[in-house]
Amino acid sequence: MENRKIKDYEEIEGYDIYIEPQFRPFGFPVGLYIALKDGVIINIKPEFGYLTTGVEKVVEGMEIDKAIPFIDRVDSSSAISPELTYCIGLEKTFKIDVPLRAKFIRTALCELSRISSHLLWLTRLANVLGINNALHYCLREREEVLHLIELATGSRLTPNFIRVGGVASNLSPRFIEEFRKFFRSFRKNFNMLKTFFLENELVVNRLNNLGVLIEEDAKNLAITGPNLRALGIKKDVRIDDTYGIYDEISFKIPVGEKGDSLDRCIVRMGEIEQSTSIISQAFYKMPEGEIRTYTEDINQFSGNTRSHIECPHGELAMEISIDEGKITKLRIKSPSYNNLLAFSRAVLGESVEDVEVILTSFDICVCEVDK
Amino acid sequence: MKILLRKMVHKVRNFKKFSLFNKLTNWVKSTSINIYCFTSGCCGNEILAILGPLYDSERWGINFVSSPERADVIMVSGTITEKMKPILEDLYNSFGNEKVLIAVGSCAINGGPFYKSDFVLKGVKEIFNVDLYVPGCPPRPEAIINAILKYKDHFK
Amino acid sequence: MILKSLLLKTFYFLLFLLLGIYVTVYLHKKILAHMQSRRGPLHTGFHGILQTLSQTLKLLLKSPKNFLKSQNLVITIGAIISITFAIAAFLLIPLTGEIFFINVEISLPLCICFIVISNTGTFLSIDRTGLNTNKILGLLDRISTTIVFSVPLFISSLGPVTFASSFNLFEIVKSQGRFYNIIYQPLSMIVFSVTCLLLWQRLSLDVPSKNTYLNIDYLSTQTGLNLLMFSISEYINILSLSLLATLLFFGGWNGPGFLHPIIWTIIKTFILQVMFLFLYTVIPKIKGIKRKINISLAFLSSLSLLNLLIVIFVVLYLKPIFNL
Ligand code: SF4
Repeated sequence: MENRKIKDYEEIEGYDIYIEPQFRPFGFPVGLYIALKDGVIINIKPEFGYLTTGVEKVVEGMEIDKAIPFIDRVDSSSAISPELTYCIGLEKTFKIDVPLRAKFIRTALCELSRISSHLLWLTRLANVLGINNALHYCLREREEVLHLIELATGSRLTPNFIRVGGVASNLSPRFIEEFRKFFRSFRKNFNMLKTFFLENELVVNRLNNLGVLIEEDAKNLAITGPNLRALGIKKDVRIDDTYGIYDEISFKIPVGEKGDSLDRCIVRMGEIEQSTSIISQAFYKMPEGEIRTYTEDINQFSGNTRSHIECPHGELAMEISIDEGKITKLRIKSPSYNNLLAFSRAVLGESVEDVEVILTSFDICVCEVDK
Repeated sequence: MKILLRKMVHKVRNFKKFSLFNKLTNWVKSTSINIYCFTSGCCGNEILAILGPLYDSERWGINFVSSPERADVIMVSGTITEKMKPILEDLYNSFGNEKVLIAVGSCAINGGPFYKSDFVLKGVKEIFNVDLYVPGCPPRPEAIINAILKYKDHFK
Repeated sequence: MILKSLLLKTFYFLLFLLLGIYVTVYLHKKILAHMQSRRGPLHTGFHGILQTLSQTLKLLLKSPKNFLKSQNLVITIGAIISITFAIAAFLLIPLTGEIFFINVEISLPLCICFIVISNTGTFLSIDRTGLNTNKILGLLDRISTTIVFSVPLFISSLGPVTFASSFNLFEIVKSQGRFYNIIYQPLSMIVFSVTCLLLWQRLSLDVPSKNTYLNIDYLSTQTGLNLLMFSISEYINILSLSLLATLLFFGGWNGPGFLHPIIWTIIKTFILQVMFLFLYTVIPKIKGIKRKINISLAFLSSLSLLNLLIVIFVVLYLKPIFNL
């Protein structure tokens, strides 16, 4: 007890409370300096950078295919989306055709990992609100989704599955069998999960009008993804700048109204439902055939590319420069960083008890913030 | 006189080894394990998973504890960066006398995929003495539970 | 002779208390786990029966060395206050018409008072060494909960009191010979059980990190005996509150004659506790003093006052007519 002398928060002027980073559960190290006046937050300063791994630097000088597992680790909750961004960018500039079946498999896996990421977010929300039952039901559903991802790719969290020009392996018949079983039970279970959050009067009262994000702030800070859609603005990379097979599939984009925590919750719940319908359509339409086009001269490529996709947290963009098949520069624009800044605006005017709830409602992945 | 005293001390020590009290403490230590989790990075998600219904860790009396003062085992998982190092050291010092440390994930073992990076520590073993390693990137939940059960068998 | 019988009585009551706590802790874990489609403690003893014992012993073994240092002493005093008053509150409650520890004229208000005082014992548990302000936030939360929710607890317990025209628990149970109070005053019963639920701080013998609020946990640096005392007093309070609820609204030990009265009390208390547990896993924690005041002072207290008015009307005008 006496030995502990963590950084003196009193040194920093103007802030009353310091919430230490290591007290945040389950891989969420962000420190918070909070300034209060009459029990209301007037200023907040998140302190991050506890997870800076320097992926962008580590990757430099690597060959194109070798870099994929490193780019995986950028996003801890849905690792397949940074892979996809990387591969899509390279395919666009070097004019590599992707077989149709590979595109379908990519989409299905992306949506599966979107479901798993949103379910992880729901468990966090249940943990913060203190609904024990919902926490465990969310975890149970998430395990089933992860099991499917593992059957397809061979790993639960970090698949290392997408290659330039296709995917690494084909889907096994067992996967499709298990998927049918999962699909039947998931709809029912998810409806039950919804009642825990959206039909519970106390939860709705708690989340309603909490942490409202103004539209002006959202535009200034370049917020994307579900947090923006909660404001009622219909912006989605999957429709605005389609990639893969999203133009062949019909799906809705759920939007909110006010941009408070409840709307964020509703939007993400709706996205899970839409994702299940996308996956079922993708499996229905999936053709037989090749899964990867091999290109011989991958080592002679050089040039610059840019790409962006819709990951569960928002718009993930990458800028890659390649010289003779080796990466010379990689820049990642992660949506969680903007979400963290948006949190520090939305939390103003609320009381201290609600900081945790608002922080989790923004769905921030710290791996992505710090890179 | 001295010889007598020495004999007495020897007897007491021997008695302590096989005494009921020792057996009881060993039983207690092996049946309820308090773990303080220092998580960062992707491995934290897998630690969340072992609380869940599929890998229910409560079956063996494994509890996750909110402060190192209450814990028997400190579990370091994920990437440890230079910025995180002072916090980890403070936590380790406020930990009790019998310090047991489990390093989970290849990042905590030797830096893992970010071995070349300047920001990342090359494993927890650089600062502290590590008792158990759980390899994998990220390790499966079964592997983490297996490591805890290994620690438990140590008392039998 | 009197001393001997008194000592025996104390022994029996404490035994009942300890057994009750042990069973409730074990059942809480098991039922909670099965609600969440898990198995709960399984490998320690038969279906994990010995898990609670080993956890308790662990806390005893982990007592800090500097137990009597000035900062720790304050916390220890708080823990002692909370556990003594919790036991005192429990001893005031009769189990049946024959089995009781002490019979006081004003046993009901005294009992509720003691429970509230035992909750205030945690106010002293400020740890100033950690430089972590979160704990103080958690503590403030605890203080506000205790103060705010003790008001509707008092008012809602006045309904049965008026009906029996006595503060004594024996009289209150006797007045429910034919019909239980839950039929006459369901409003009051609902308010009472809801406040019981909200007063429950959700501390468990193992540490609450998994459940909620890892960071805003006011006892987060406590170990050993202090933590044990705090959490045991919490469980005693739950036990005595649900016992009080059975006595006030569910007819206490009244019941069909084929079973011993004490078994009726135990069965009713057990059912109430399972109900509490079920609600507690579904309802989120209420945070923020504005919401608490809204719920307790504006909603629950006014409901129980309304109930009180109805009961007074019934007692004054209807009771003499219908001979209730
Ligand atoms: S070991 Fe692998 S999975 Fe774990 S934190 Fe490091 S990079 Fe992430």
